[in-house]
This record gives sequence, structure tokens and C-alpha cells, in this order.
Amino acid sequence: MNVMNILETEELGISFGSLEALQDINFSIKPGELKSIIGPNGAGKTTFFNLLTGVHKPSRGRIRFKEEDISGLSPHQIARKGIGRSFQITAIFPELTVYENVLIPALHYCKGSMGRDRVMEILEEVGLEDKTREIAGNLSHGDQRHLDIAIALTCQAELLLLDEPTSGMPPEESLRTVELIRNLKSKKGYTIILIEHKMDIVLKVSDAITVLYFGKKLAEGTPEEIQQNEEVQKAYLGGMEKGFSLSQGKNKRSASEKAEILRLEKINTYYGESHILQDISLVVKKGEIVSLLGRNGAGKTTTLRSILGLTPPRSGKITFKGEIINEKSTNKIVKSGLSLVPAERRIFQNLTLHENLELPFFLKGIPGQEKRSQLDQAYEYFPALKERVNHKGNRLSGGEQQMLAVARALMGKVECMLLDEPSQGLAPLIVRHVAEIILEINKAGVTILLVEQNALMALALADRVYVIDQGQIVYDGTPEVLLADQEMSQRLLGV
Amino acid sequence: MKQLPIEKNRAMDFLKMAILFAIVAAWPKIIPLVGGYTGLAIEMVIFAIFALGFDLLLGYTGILSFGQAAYFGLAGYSMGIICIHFKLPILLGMLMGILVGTLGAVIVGLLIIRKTGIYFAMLTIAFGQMFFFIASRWKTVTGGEDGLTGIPRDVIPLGLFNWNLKNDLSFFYFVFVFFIAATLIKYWLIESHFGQVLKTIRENEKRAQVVGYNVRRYKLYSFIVSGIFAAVAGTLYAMFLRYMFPQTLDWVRSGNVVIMALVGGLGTLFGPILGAGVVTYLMNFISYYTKYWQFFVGAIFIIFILFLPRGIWGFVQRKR
Repeated sequence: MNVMNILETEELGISFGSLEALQDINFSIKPGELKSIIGPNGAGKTTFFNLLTGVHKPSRGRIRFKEEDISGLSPHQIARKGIGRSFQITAIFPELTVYENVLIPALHYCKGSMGRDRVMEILEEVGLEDKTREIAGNLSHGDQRHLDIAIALTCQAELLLLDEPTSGMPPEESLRTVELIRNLKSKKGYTIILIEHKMDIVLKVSDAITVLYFGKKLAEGTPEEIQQNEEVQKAYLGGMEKGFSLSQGKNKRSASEKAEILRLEKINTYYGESHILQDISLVVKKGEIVSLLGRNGAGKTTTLRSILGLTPPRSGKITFKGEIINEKSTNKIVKSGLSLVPAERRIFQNLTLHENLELPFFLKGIPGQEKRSQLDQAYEYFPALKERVNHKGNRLSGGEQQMLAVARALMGKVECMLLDEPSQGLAPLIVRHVAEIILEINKAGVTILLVEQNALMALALADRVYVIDQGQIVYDGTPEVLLADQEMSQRLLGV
Repeated sequence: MKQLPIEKNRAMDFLKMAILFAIVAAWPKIIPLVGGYTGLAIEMVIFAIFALGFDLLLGYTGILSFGQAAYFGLAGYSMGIICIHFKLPILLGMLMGILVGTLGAVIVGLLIIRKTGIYFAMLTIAFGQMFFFIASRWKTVTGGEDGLTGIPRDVIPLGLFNWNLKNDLSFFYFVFVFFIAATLIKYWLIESHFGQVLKTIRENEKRAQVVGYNVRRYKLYSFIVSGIFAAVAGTLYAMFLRYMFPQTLDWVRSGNVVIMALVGGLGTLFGPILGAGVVTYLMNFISYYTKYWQFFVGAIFIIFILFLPRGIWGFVQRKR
């Protein structure tokens, strides 16, 4: 044992049934270091955190923390030894106030007024000191992500495990998180292990990077070494850290000659009393890929919800294939040929992959022959899914879930597909794969309306772009014009 | 702008409790005005104690049990059996009854607390029904289907004078003492660190564990404390009726306490008390007029779930 290391794992491994989720992981980190773990979805990154925090018991190997063997201890025992953890899918206490969210865990470690002081200190560290009274569930996504980190800080942790702290955040908000992580490391002296997909962040903050690939350690080294490592390039990065490019060209067509398929006219949508969409108008023509971009909370998802009748607009008109649909119920709208790939995938966790794919057929009443050919088509788009036909939804990795969500939305007579942030939480290489499939689906005749945080992906795909800000359309045009105007793309998209 | 956390206004809470106690103290005088009688007032207060404890489990910890009547009935039966067979004074009998009821909750809790959600709820029913069958079949001890008759409710010697509980009105104030204690203890529990941790378990069990709480132990404690409240209510009920019958620990009765807590407002101090009062009163009132009273109770329950999901007290709090 190297006494310098605060945490060490030795030949660590775990299997779920016949699946070797992690094998022979030797990992170590010294006090004050920041090491990142990267790798494609399903590589075992979160599983690694689950082993370190005792959520799963290792099948093989040891974990040592501060020279003490902690393998096999339960999660609360490990937390008390000084390992704090944040979660990939935000794990806060939604109905309690921000203050209570941090106070209740903190009281375990320091009592009385000392506890209260510590809470304010933590909330100041993460920038939530002016929101102490708010109900945690009402915070914006970015603030919830920071609250998640704040809860991890309460354990008097020396070692912090951060699981994709910037997931779902637009670029300018991510910067705030990066600043926070840097402060935690340099000013507060935390040792940090970071899981992150955004390569620019990883390269900026890490002392060292470990790459996992299908449960094994593929490489380890400084950011420079990892960037130059050919195996890593092939397995994970694929040149994506330098920008977004597609291997195949877009359909070149003159949009003007196409017929309209979807039109929104002066849509106004409310959540309770708050006026979310203000006079939104947009047009999608048959065979196009249209991207709708904007910051968190700008109204992108609400636009999709309005179209599908999930949050019907109070005023305005939505037409699909020449028919007014905003008075119709969601199931009728979907039946008429619109389909949604929801954010966070929303697949059915307890059904198998195949059952998930078959579900839309019950709704749409499609004959067996066509059903089979559509299923074959889906497996052709996503060969990776074919190997997992009988796996339950909750056993699929993030990337597989996203592919399944897209495949599922293709079932039935789909003419126009609405995608809500298909790139969220995906590894760069998989984002590209998903992008290429979207393009292929489009070439097969499906019109696409794409909502994205990942502006580079959306701009590379789109024929036309709308940018939405605070519930209003602020840009309407081609991606080329938007990208050429640096000042505008910086202001609107933070890229 | 730095925002300071809201300081809890404890004085306000105690004022509200004082008002509650004053109303309950006057309740036997008020209830005839709404068509009730002292016996009904007693029942309302006993079920308020039961529901207070149950809410700690469902409202604060987020655990649904359909078997809480088991500890209610177990304690009532035990008290009766002990008092009848060993001729113990009622206070000692009560104590023993509560101990047995608590022991039941401890044993069942230890066996099933690892399970979650629907599996946990099913197991609570299974154990509850097990006690129900023991009560209805073990004729020599429990009296079987005929019930256990002759449970004493007599005199408590207090040195200077004797407190005669035979009279319903004085028994009401005996129950009232336990009600005050139960309310204060519940308040103390939910305001304590213990109660706060229960809330985090309700909100996100996995997270509570990863910040260092032994979630399973907290859940077990919550289950046991809830069992103790049920046991206290059960012994009071046995004394009130002077009689115990198997249906007192049936899962229908467990279901009733779920309804009480929901109607009143889960996860609040006053909600379950209010719910127990309202539901007990309505059951009594409607069953007086029609033998199909369960239909109407069901309908009222459905209306609450649909239109007042946070219960009466939750609704009142929202409005302000």
C-alpha cells in the first residue's frame, strides 16, 4: 500500500449475472488531486462509484480509504468515513427547503449552531445562499445540480465523487459548475473523482484521466497523454472534442419548394399563472430537420409539450398536415403521425427492450407484417439493441436507452418526430452515432424537429434553426448564418 | 442578497396545540350539539392517538403499512387477558399490554423492514391477518369469535382520592391525558433530528443513505414508535369497550387508520388528529342512518383523494 494515496482499489470487479460490469480496476488517488473518469455510456463509470460508496458490494478485489479496507461496508458507514457523492440523476429532497436539504444531513456531523454555520458556508460555496427558503423541487435544473453537490459536501467529506455534475446544463451554466469544482479542489482542499462527458471540462480541470471501456481500464494518464492515445481516440473521443462533424452530408434541398407539415401560430402557453411561451410561431416543412435551440428554461420542452397537447396552449393555432390539432387530445395527435422522443428517454424500466419497442403498436393497430418489418428496420438502425432484446430497461446503459427511445418513436406511421435533447448524458462518440441515425431517419422521409442543448450537434444537423429565449423566438434562419455571426451565437447559445 | 433560513416559530406551534387541547377538553360538552355523545368523543380521541402514530410512518417516513391494527389489537387483547387472568390493576395491565403490542411491532419490524413499497405493505397485511386469526381461533385464551369479555375499567387510586373510570366522562379525561402526551411526543419527534431524517428518507431514501444515515434502522424505529402509539390506543380501546373482538385487529381497521391520516393530511401534526375525528364521527353518523354506511365512507374517501389530496389540514395550510 502506498501511504500517499487517500483511496486505492485493487483488482476491483463486479458482475451482474453473466455481465462483467467492471473487471480488474486498479485505481488510486492522492490527497488534493482531481482525477476524471471518462468512457462511453455503459463503460461502468457509475458502477465504479456505486462500488466505492457501498451501494453495490464488489464481487472481487478491495477498496482502501485512508489505509482502511472499506470493501463491503454499507453506504452509510462509508459516508461517515468521509466519502461524499453527488448523483448523475439529481438526488435531492424535493419537498424540503434548500436549507433543510443541507441541514438535515449536516446535523449528523456537527450539532447545533455549528451545524447551522456549516450549512450557510456550504450553500455559499455552491452559490445557493440567496435561495435558502425555496423548495428544492422548484429550483432550476442548474441550481438543483449544485444542491446535489452541496448535499455531498455535508459528510465532512475528504473525498468527493461527482457524477456528471454538468449533465443537462447549457454551456454558460456549466462554466459556473467548473468554477465551483475548481474552488472545491484548490481552495477547500477536497480530493475529487469526477465522471464527465464534456471533454472540454475534463481536459481543463483534471490532473489525470482514467478511461473505462466495457468494464475495463483502457488507459490512464495526464490529459495530454489521453488526448494523444490512439486507442482512446478510437473507442471514445473519435475527434469529437475538437468540434462536430458528420461523416455523411445533409440532404441538400431548397426548402421553399417543400410543403408545410407543422405550423405554430402565436402560441401562448402557461404553467399555472406563469406565462411560458409568448407568441411562438414556427414552421416545419416536410422532409426538413429543424432545430430549436435555447438555454435551460427558455421554453423548448414546453413548445414540444404544446404541440403534443400535453400542455395545451391557451391561445394560438397549431396545424399538422393542414389540420388544426391544438384542440385534440394527445393520443389523437400521436395517432395522426407525430411522435416524441422525450428528454431523459423515459423508457419503461421494467419492460424488456423488445417489449418497449412493441408498445406503440398496441396504440396504432398495425398489421403483423408491417410490424415485423418496422422492428427489423429499427434493429438495423441500431444493431447494438439487437444484442439486448431481452434486457430490462433499467439494465440498459444511458446510450442504449437513448437509442431505444429513438427507435420506439419510429414505430408506427411516423411522419414527424420531435426529439427532446437526444444527446443529454451521452458520450461524444455516441452523440455522433445518434446524430447520424437522426440524419438517416430523416433521409428515409421523416421530418424532424430537434430540441437541443448541444448546439454544435443541432447546428450540424439542421436545415433551419429557431432560437428561443425567455419564451420568445429570437432567431429564425439557417445554421450557417448563425454560426458565421460569432457575437450572436455567443450571446444566444454560449458557443 | 443573502437569505436567512426561516426560523421555526415554536411559540406559534405551542399556541396552536394549546387551542387544540382546549377544544378537545371541552369536546364532551360540544359533541351533543352535533348529535354525538361522550362515548363517541372517547372513540374519536383514541383513534386520534392511533392516527398520530401511524402518520409518523406514512406521512413522515413514507412507508405504507396496512397492518397497524395488529399492534392496536394485540395490545388491547393482552391488556384484557392479563387483567382478567392475573387480576392486575388496570394501569399495570395497560403497561403490560403496551409492552406486548410494542414487542409485536419490534418482531414484525425486524422481519420485514428490508422490504420496500408494495412488498412491505403486503407483508404488513399478512402479519396483521396472522394476529387476527390467532385472536379468532385461540378460543381458550381470546374467547375466539365471541370476543374477550369482562375487561376491567375501574378505579385508579391516586392517594388522596380515587379516579373512577367507570363513568364515561371521567374516562374521557383519562384518555385525554394520553392524547396530550401523544401529541406532545409526536411534536417533539417530528421537530427532532430523528424526525428530520425520516423526512429525508421519505424524499429520497438512497440519498439519505449515502449522506451517512442508517436508513434501515431509522425505518425500523419509525415502525416501532408507530406501533407504540397503536398499542396505547389499543389498550385504551379495550378499556373503553370493556371488550375485545377479532375485528379490532383486522386489516379493515388498519385501512381505516390509513383513511384517517389521508383525510386529515399526511405529514402534519394536526392533520391525523382532525382526520381521526372527522372519519370516526362520519362513520358513526352515517351508520346510524343506513346499513350501507361503508359505501358513503368510501365515497367520501374518494372525494378527498381526488379533490383534497393533501387532506383537510393540508388544504387549510395552503389557503393561508
